[in-house]
Amino acid sequence: MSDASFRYITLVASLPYLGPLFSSAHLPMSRYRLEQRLSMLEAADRQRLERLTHVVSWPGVAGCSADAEVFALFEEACDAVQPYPALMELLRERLESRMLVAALRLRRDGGGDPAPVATWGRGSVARAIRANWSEPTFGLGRARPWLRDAQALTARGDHIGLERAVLTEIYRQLDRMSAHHRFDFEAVALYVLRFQVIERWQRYDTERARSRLETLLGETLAGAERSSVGAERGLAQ
Amino acid sequence: MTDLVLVLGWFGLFAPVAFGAIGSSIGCARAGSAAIGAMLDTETGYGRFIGASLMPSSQVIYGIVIMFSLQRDPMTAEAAAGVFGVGLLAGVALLYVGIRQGEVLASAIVAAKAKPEIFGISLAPAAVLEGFAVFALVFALVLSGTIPG
Repeated sequence: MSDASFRYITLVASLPYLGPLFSSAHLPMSRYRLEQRLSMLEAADRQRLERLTHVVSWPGVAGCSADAEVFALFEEACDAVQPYPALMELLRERLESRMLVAALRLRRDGGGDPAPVATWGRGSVARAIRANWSEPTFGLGRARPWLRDAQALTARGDHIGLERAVLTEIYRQLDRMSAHHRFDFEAVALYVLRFQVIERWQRYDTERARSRLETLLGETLAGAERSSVGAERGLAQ
Repeated sequence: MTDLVLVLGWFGLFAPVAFGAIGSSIGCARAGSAAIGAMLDTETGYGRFIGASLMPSSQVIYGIVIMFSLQRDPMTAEAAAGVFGVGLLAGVALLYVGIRQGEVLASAIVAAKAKPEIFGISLAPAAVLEGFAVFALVFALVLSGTIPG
């Protein structure tokens, strides 16, 4: 029994319960406080965790200009978490989910040409996408039921709905994996990834709220301007 | 040969205390680590988290009781085989229970932190494990009465 295992126990016990996705309006702790708690980890684990969270977060891959760069980032992250097969599996699944969502969008925008998918490697999902380009769920609907919803939402252009469906699936996957890890590095990593999903959804929600507020303010101000102009005209007459 | 049997007898005599102490220390350390972590995240209930984390300490106490019941003065070759068998197996049982108790208590503390109302019931698995350790204790005492010497 190593010191690290006791450290994981203390760290996991110090992290607040996250609860189901979409259930709470606020995160149970701030990002700052989470980072403070994660400082209990050893430097190597901390680095590993950063690699992992960087590659699965949207800002982490947003700077990539080519698909190859994204694949290279995933490869690097896989190397970093090599001692933890569950996390490698998670990365693989996350990459596949990204490929599927990207393929849905590509098909909606680009129509019948699956040419860009040729650069997505030789994995089973990339192969299935290329082989079943015209099928609604690329022939993967049975293994990945969420794809049916995602396909329908993409076709309707419901971006928020799609985001919600994808995040729900990711969160479910993380929850399922968490059941097998209580007090180890994987448990900490899965907690941080779930935290990231909630944070992303809430930020997304905040952005939506801000844009709605801006629209409402714009409408109200325009209405007030119109009525003040009308009042001035009335006074002038 | 007799010397070896006597050595094994002494080994069996102290095994419940040694293994019990190892089990208790690992169990208490695991549950204690969880209690410390839980205290970082909560404003109340510190006492009950620490109290629960001390539960595995009973294993070493049971070990001491078994050791006294197995003690023979002087240790003879006839008694040594029985003392070795009963002492060693009782010690292993106490060690295992102590470690597993630490695990379930750590889980109980984490769960009770999120949902304080389940604190009592979350200790039930640890209490059941304690029951198994008591079985090991009682039957070691019963068998020690049948060992000659």
